[in-house]
Amino acid sequence: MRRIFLTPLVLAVAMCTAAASDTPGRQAGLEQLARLPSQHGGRIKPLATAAAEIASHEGHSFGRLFAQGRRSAAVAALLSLSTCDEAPRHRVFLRVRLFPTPGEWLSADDAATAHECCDDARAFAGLATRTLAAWNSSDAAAFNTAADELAIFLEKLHRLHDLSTARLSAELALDSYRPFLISGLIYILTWVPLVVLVTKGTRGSSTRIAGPVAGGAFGANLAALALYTWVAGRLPLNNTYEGMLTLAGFLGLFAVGAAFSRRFFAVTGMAGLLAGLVLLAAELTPVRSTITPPVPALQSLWLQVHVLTCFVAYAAFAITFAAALVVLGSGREGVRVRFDGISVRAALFGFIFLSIGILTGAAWARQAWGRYWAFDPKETWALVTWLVYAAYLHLALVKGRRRLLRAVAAIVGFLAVIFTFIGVNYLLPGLHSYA
Amino acid sequence: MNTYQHRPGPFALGINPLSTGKAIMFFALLYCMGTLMWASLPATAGAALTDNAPLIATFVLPLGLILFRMLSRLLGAPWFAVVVIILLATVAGIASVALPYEEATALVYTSFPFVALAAALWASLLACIIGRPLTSRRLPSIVLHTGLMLALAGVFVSMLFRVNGYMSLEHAQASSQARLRDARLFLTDDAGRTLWLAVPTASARADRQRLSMARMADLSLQLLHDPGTGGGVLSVFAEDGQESANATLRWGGTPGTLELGESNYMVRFGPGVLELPFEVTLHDSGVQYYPASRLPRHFHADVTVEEATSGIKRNATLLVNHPLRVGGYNISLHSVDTRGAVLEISRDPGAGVLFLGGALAVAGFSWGLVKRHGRTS
Repeated sequence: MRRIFLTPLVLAVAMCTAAASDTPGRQAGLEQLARLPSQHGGRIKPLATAAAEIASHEGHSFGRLFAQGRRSAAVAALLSLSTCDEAPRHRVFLRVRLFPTPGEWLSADDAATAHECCDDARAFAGLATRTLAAWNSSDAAAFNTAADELAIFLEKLHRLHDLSTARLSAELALDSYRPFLISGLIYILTWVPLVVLVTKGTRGSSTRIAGPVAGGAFGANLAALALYTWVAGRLPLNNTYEGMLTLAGFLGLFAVGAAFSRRFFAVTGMAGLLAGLVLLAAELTPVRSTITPPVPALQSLWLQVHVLTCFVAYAAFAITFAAALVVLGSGREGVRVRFDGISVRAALFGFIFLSIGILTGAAWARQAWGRYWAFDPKETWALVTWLVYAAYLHLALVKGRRRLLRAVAAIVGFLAVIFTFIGVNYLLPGLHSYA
Repeated sequence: MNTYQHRPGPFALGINPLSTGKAIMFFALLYCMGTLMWASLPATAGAALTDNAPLIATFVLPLGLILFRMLSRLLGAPWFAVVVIILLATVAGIASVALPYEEATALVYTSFPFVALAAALWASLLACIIGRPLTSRRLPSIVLHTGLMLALAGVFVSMLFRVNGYMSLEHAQASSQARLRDARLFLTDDAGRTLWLAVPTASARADRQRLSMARMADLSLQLLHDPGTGGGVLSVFAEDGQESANATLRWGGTPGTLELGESNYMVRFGPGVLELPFEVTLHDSGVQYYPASRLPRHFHADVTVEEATSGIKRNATLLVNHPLRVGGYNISLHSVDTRGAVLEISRDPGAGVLFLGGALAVAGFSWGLVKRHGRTS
């Protein structure tokens, strides 16, 4: 009966081997193709990323593409989708824009039919068709040679167009090495010192590692965020996935900041753990998405101000929540008092940022839609969250010792936060549909 | 942690060192609540309120004053605020999950009970500020709560005075009228006086409604509204005690007539029109896409705005997030298609009040945090 728990593991292994068996001996060619710059979805991106987007659009399992690094698996999926030459729908590989021009890039199909175009375009079309044919013939050596020739041919053109491949490499690195996932896993380690702190009630020697661990994780997280910002050309704030990455960054910042404080040391463990969980949730669930350019509605400075202040508030409320859980769960009075204090302070901090977040959101709405409040679900739930924490703070500041009631209010408040941040995006359609 | 010891303020005890100021504030509160009630009650009640204005002034206001003085302890108590806050949060949360948001707005957020709850919150804020002793320790809290009160007052002002319409223009077309979003029933009598009533289209309850036009004539109108037929067909059944008449109206179509005794009325059903102090001409509009995708990069509309009074002409390109402000109106780009564009026109005197109050509240809160931190460490 217990073996049933092994099923996902077995399935994952089976999926990986299945994906690997698609490409015996053809890995080298796939790697070559994966790095090629292509123009897709409004951006210049590695073919591997474009292929993953196309494959997932065509109904190919996204999970499988992630199973063994997206690079070659995604390209393999793209080529496999291009088997049937008769139906144009299935010639997707020949419709990916790989041939650089100053305006819209050309796909192999475009290049083959472009009349007044240069010889280069026709040569490119020939190479691409040959690569696809070699893939379909399952001749590994021929495929690797064709892919290599195509890559070398296109590289010459990229040099001609002064195309920098540094950003593309960075984007591939984000996909292959999963820095967010790695920093998430390091963050989780701060759980150990927190447990010691909660159960023993004092800082034992093992809690000393909390600071360095949080610092390392935050460093990795920050570096990954910087890389993401550079690759995307904007801050990662435009959809739920990017929001979670930034939120984890703020939690990490709190964790590192608290590591220097005697009084708030416990925040390191809680914020670190939460940051880890947020990053794992972002990286391992279908929330994960590829980088897209911003739609007109999101092209505003207000986006940065509004979303960043809201995320500071969410991060602070997460700490309020974690501390309230400790207050409810701990048997030691000393621990309860200390975590209650942390809970209230974090809520005060979060409340002021949520207030600013709602106000800046209202100002942005006034600018973009002509009205500052429309009772769109996101707005309504931000208001609900604000009201719950207003009630919480009245319970906290007005007569001292209702610790239990306060802890319950903090938990209800955080449920409202989660619903505002994630639930509304998926369950209630409205004006905030992109995030 | 500070604890607040609840002491009844001088106002609650009837000792009134600041009576003039408090009286003014109280009347402001009552005025706000009164207008609010008028706006949110059905038209019959609104008419009843105006008709009975002297009665209200003589009895209801003094009674309200006494009631507020009696209740100021209750209103100012923190637990009262908490209860009102929790009620507001619960109602808003449930409504947003249970109903599509246009319907939730029409049926819940602008309904009398919800607005009354908000008004109770306002009264609670007021009582919290003036019902307790004024000490320097409480200053940040007073700034914070005054800010919130101001912000909420801004919301009330918006509810009553905000105008918002849209202008659908094709290329090379000009207009100085915006269409309002609500459906209206217009009634014009022999003397040319016109009266309108809002007909809630989004509401499922609108299929049978009794409205009163008592402010113009002693008419009782019954609307049989059928939103299912596209624009909607409205049957008006009117009676004045002895006689009755019928008219069937199409959305935006030709007016119908009602003959009741010796009076003739013309009725029309359609969108309200907002006359603007400027004229907008649309020259061009369109969408620019990101390369190799169907993802929009920019929506744009090139317009010329000519102000009626001064005759000043302004050329501008409207983009999403880049509105134009003309004569107190906000002109923003709502949508764009190949033939033209839809512009959103709005004016909101409450917005400034809201943001001022919000800024004050945030400032008060920050002040309080800094003060608290300075004391404890």
